[in-house]
Amino acid sequence: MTASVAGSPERTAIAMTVNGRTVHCDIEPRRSLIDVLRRDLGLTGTLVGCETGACGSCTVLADGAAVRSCLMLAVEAAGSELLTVEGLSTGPGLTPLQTAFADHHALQCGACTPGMLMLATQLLADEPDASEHRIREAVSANLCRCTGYATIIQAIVAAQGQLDG
Amino acid sequence: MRAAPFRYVRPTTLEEAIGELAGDPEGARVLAGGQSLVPALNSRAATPRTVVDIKSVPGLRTLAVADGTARIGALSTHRDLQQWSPPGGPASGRLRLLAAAAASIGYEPIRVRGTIGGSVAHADPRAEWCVVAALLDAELVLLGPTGVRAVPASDFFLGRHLTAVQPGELLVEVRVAAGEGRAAIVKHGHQPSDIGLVCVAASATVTDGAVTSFKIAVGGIADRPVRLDAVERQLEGSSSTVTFADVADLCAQSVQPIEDAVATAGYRTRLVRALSQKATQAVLSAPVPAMRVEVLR
Repeated sequence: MTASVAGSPERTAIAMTVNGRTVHCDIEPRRSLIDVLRRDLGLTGTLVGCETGACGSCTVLADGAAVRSCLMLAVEAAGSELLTVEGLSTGPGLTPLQTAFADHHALQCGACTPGMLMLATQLLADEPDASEHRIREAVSANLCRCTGYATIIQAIVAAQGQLDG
Repeated sequence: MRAAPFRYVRPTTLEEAIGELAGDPEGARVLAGGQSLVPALNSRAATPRTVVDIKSVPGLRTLAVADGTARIGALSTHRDLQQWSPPGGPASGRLRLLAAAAASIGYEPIRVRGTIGGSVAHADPRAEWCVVAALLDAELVLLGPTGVRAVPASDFFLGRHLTAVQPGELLVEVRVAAGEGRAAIVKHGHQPSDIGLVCVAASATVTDGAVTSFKIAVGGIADRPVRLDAVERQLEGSSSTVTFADVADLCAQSVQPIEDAVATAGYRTRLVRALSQKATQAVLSAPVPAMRVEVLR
């Protein structure tokens, strides 16, 4: 997606859509996407883990694809549609996926949870009938130190069943 | 840690992009998928004056086979290549290695952003695309202010993170001759998607029981991917009843891997033996499964 980006090392103007709303930022191009999401837009649901792209806790959706926001400059997201964990539920309650995570003990410390939710959101959107093997493969992209992954996979399978209904 | 300040430009034509790179040959860096450059910026391992984001330059992401040559745009993501079925049937058998290699890189969030051009230009000696380029004798097409030139893989990788790309030049395409036969890639890392401490790729054609072509390339044992010429010469023309263990021993004997804080030379040699045995088995045994990537655990 081509979008105009213009500015200086001190300030470069970009526009992007975040959780359905257009936002305009005037930022240094050296800022990472996760840094701008958290500090400038107050969306602290996306967590910083390793800052090197190894853990996936920074995962957001950019134009429908799960990406590591620590491996993107914010200016690269100009013109893109971003979805963060805050954008999953558009009402006061939790989505079936989020409820399934809670019900199946798919989180303990919660550090991997926003990233896992975003991975699951993309997978179930693109492959609603994904096999358990596919689900297992998808969540292996992100590190979880607490759950051993089994309950995360169970939660996603359960949410899959609910979305089918 | 936060990156040092830089100027960011996103040219919309190839001419603009080359102009930016040529305008500051020592201070401009190309940004493609960012999966290698952005962490380097964040840790300040890289401190360019200008970052030239080439993702808005059209025409760099095409995938095609013409006149027996696969032409791979440098901005093709690993995911693009994972999903690509090159035309040509059995005559292009060895191109099926591309999808297998792509599928083994990182995870999907990495693969949707990272590009083959970025990986090749980054020239990590362990990298899957670098080993594949060396195996398939790829040509790396560079565009600069004085025109276009194609550099064979054997002349392209000059050292760790050092390539034949001159200041002001941009890698625009990777060309690989289509060919029959089988090819496979095997690597060893803690997790299947790790870059791999050692990576071995092999290709072969067998005609009437004789090995008419055998190529093998290894990454992670030197400052660039290495072709095991001596092993190739011994195997080509030989009967395909040679044992895979013998080939593995030959490969292990023909390498002198680096030693560093990550692993000893001896350990890397053991990996070369084990991985070359698997790769050779994959390309020489019949019936053979489709291109597969295996990782030792």
